[in-house]
Amino acid sequence: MLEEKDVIDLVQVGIVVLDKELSVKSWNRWMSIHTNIKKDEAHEKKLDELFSFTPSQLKGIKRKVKTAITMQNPTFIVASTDSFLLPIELPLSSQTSYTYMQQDVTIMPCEKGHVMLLIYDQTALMESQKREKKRAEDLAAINEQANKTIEKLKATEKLLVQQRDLIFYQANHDQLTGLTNRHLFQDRLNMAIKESKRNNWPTSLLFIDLDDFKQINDRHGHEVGDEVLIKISNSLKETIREKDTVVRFGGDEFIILLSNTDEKGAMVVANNILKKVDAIEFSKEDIKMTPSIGIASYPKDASSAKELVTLADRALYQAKFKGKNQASIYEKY
Amino acid sequence: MKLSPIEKDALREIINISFGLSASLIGDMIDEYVDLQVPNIETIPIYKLHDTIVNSLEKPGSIFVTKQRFFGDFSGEVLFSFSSESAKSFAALLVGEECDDEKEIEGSILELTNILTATCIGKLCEIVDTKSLFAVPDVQKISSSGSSALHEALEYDNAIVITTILDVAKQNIQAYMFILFNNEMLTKLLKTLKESSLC
Repeated sequence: MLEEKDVIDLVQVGIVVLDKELSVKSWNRWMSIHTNIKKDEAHEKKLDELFSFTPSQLKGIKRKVKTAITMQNPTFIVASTDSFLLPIELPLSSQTSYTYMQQDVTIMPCEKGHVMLLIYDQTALMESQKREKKRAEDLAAINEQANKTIEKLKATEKLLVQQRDLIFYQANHDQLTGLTNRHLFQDRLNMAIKESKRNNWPTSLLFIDLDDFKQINDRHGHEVGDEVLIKISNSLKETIREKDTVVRFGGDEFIILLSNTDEKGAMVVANNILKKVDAIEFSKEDIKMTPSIGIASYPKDASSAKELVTLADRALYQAKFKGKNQASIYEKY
Repeated sequence: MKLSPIEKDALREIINISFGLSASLIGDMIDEYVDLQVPNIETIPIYKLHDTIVNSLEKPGSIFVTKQRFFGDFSGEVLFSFSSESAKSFAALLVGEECDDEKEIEGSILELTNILTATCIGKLCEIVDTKSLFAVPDVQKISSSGSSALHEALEYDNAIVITTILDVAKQNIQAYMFILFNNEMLTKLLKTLKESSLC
């Protein structure tokens, strides 16, 4: 049977027994192999005579030895924070990034006020932890880069959506007044007629033309003409419901699309417009604008979207013919 | 498993005794008078451990968590959590100057918690009349906003949470000690406390 002292030489752990002054009392075979210091060479030598330590390292070792003896419980020197106790150089063939063996050391109190140092080679463990940490850092860096790219793509997408919306807006609205243009009006009118058919309700159009607008441009210039158009447009917008549509049809012509409204309801709106426009004040005090308005309804007057526009236009001419500044409901002759 | 007020008092007394020895060892180490206070003690279920550690911080930041297992008839694990500020303060006391080196900070608090763990668990072992072996301690730094890095603690059922204030050189170094037990170990401890008329 193996004796206890032989076991100490067989274990794959460094074992050193020290007194409180750090003089070596015992030194196992593992220590001789890894430090190249034989048992009899180490015996009774102080640890700091066998190895060179920085003053703070030596102070730390002495402190931990003293603490272990006083509290009669182990203290530790940990590879992950203290790196290594003994400067044991690793062979080049060891395939590690460390030059020195990384060690966990347990300082066990034992008899006669001595301590036993159990030195574990943790180089492989530290190496794998280091690799793991590097992998985690690389992964974090990749994640960060991916997140940045995603953020950039989101910003680009937002910009593209904004640009698309702008293009859509510009394609469907009048640049000067911001009102719906003829292109979008055609869609809205077709939709309104479909809804009329489905719900069996009337749709009416107000065709508006500003009386003698040409003279404004001729007398005051286009800037004033633009001001008039903008103010009239704003006034028309204020007159209608949210679901209705005001369209700049061209030049000084406007159309108002009133869904679920018959010619009587349209006439109420038209009279409101006449009053509102009359109340508008322009920067040139001598300007007074009046509109003429033609009204036609689906399905009472027209049987299609196209016809509804034509008949509202005709009603407009009837209003002009009757003396301008008034609204006229389409009458079939 | 909740502690009754009597059990809490008994545990606080035992921990106070062990911390008395710790205070004198730590005082020797840093050459200062050290007073260790235990203002609060409670138990929590293990699933609340991570949140309790994170919530122990006064403001969001990094937390140093030390861990040390103990084995034998009486087994479990001891965790300590320190805010970065408290960890730095203790390292400065041990090193003797302002300390920003993370390894040095980690080494310092490991040395501190090793003493607290050994004396405290040593005292509890004395009560349950056994001896435990201590594993090499470990330390990790976690972010208060990060995910749980303490999942391995799930092998336990309960944690005794001990608020620990190290009053030294006009510095209040606050730490939280967590003794992790499974139900069997905690029951064993409480039963022994009762039998030995400590509670």
